[in-house]
Parts: sequence; C-alpha cells; structure tokens
Amino acid sequence: MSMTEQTCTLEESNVPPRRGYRGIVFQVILLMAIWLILSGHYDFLHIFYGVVSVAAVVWLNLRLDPLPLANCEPCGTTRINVPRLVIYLVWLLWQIIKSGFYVAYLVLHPKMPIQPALVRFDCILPNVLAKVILGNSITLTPGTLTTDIREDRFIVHSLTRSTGDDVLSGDMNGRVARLYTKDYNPDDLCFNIRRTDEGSSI
Amino acid sequence: MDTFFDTFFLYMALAVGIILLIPFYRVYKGPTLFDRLLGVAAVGGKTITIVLLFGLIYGRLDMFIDISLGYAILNFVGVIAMTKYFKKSASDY
Amino acid sequence: MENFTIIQDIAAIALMLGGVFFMLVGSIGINRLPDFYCRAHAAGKVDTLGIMMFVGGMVVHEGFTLTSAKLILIIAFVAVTSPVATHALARRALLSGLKIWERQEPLK
Repeated sequence: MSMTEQTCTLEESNVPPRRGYRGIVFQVILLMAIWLILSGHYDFLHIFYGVVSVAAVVWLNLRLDPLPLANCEPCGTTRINVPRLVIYLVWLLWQIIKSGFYVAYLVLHPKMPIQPALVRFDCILPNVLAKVILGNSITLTPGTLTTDIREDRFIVHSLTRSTGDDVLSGDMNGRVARLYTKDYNPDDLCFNIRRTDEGSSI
Repeated sequence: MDTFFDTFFLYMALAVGIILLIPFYRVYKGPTLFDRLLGVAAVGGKTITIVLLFGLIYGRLDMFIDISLGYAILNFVGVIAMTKYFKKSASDY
Repeated sequence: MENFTIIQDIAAIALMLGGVFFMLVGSIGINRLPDFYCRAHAAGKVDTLGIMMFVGGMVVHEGFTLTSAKLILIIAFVAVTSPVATHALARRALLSGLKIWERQEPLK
C-alpha cells in the first residue's frame, strides 16, 4: 500500500535512449502556439521573450525525461502515431458528449437505475504514457471511472452493468495500443477479470 | 441585438450563480471528507464560467479570460494538493 | 451575411442553455447519487460537458478572434484536468478504504 516501496534511485533504473528530435519539435511548436495565443502581442520583443521561455521549458523537460514515472519504468521510449492520435482525440470528444448525456439520463431518471460495481482487469501496454492515456479515457467514457492503476492492474468503478461490460470488452485498450504499435497481442489487453457485482472481491 | 445579449448574459450569470449554490449542500452535509472536496471542486469548475460571463457583461472578455484560466489552474492544483495532503489521515474524518 | 449572424447567435444561445442544463444536472447528481464514487461520476463527466458546452457557446458568440482561441484553450484545459482531478480524489478514497455503495435488491 505504501508509496515508498516503489521509489528507486536514478542509477538503478536503466536510462532510456535520448528521445529523438521529433518530440522536441512538437513540444516547441505546441508551447510557442500557446505563448502566441496567450500573449496577443506580435512585436519583436514579446516574441523574443516567448522564444526564451520556450527554450527554458524545453531544456527543463529534457532534464526531466530520464526520470521514471512509476515503478522505475521510464516513459517516452516509443513513438506515438500522430494521425492515429488525432483520430483518437476526435473519437474521445464524441465519447465525452455521449457520457455526459448518459450520466445525465441516469441522474434524472426517477428510479435512478444504477448498479455500481468495482471492476478489475489487467492490461499490458507498451509504456507508462499509454496507461495514463487509457486511464484518462476510461474516466471520460460513459459510466466508468478509473480509481486505481498499479503496474498493469486497472481498478474501474462502473455505474451500471452494461458500462462495466463495455470496459471489459477491451475495445478501448486496443485503440490505445494501436496508438503506439501494430504488433500487440489481443489476449494481453484484458485478462484477470474480477467484478464485485458477480460476488468476487477486488 | 446587443442589448438582448446583455440581458441574456445577465440572466445566464444569475442562473449559474444559483446552480453554484447547490453543491454547497454536499460540502455542508457530506458524510466523508471526499464528498466535501468533490463539492468544492464542482463549485470551482462553475466559477470559471461565471468569471467569463462577468467578462462578457463588462465588455472586457480578453482580461477576464486570463483570470478564469488562472482560476482553473488554481482549482486543479488545489484538488491535487488536497488529495496529497489527506494521504494518511483520510480515515480519521 | 445577415443570416449568418442570426445562425451564429442561435447556436451560441443553444450551446449556453445546454451548458447551463448540464451544470444543473451535475449539481443535482452530486446531491442525489448514493455514494462518493457515483457522485464523482456526476462531477467528473456531466459538469465537464456542461462547462465545455458553455464556453463553446462563448466561442461561437465571439467569432473568429484571438479571444476565442483563448477560450478554446480553456476548453482543452478543462477537458484534460477534470478527469485527472476526479481520478485523484477517487484513488485517494479507494486507498483510504472507502467502501462502494451496492444495490441490495436486484434491479428490475
């Protein structure tokens, strides 16, 4: 239960190979766009300040890069597929709208047809960042809420029985895995399933 | 048309202001600490929109946007800090 | 051009009214649902959708300006941070041993 077991020194963890220029270029473009939107002044001095700030932030991020996120697992070793990411984000926006309507229907229904349960499953994903994406996406999709991620184990709170089934179908896990790699094993995406509404404990 | 939108925004601000008060019942009543924190986070999220509405009413949206963005960041960091802070002692509440 | 302004105004008003509706439902859900985890659903999803629709209505009202770009930045920020905050609260609740509410009699 304690968090201290998971900490490890930087020397022990194998430092990943330095990220390519692609990630840095994306970072610079994104940060510069945010600066230009937020500042609103387009004379030389303000853009110069922006360039200095972006350079400082990118330098700090590069120094943060070899630090492990959790369990000594470094992140950022795999390339993300950008066109797939755009498609995924559009799909996610649609899911947000759907989930808002669904939970609103459940709240306003006079009898509130909810049947909450905790659902547990294991999912092997290429890196830590993919787990973060999957956890956030589960929270945004209808009727499900990620409560804990430890190593490969996800614990999800589902509001009704059908939404629990949706999570366990492993559809979204496949979508997240496809963001990073083509050759994944579908059997590794969702196994070791337990659900409290079938009488088993988490 | 402008006068219509001025009154529309005023009534919207009134509606959001009333909606803002509903989660306070949960903050007051909440059986656990987490219910109270959730209520506070919900109030903070709605405050973003009410600040933006004030910007529209006063005609200085460009200035109020920065305030509401700062408020959104403070709200997020506040919730994360609270969850870190109540790490050990949450079962006592 | 005149028609376009009217369509823009109607879309802005519709999005704002929808946003207020979802914020109201989120507030009701926070008070009505039986336990903390269910309330987190209402706060994390319905409220987020309400805020995003409301600010989206402001974007439509504002038109194609720098201000609306900033508003879109706020939408993106809310969409990213709201599930993270909800997850942080729910995780802390689960780790501190808060039990979930379960339906005793089976659902018809």
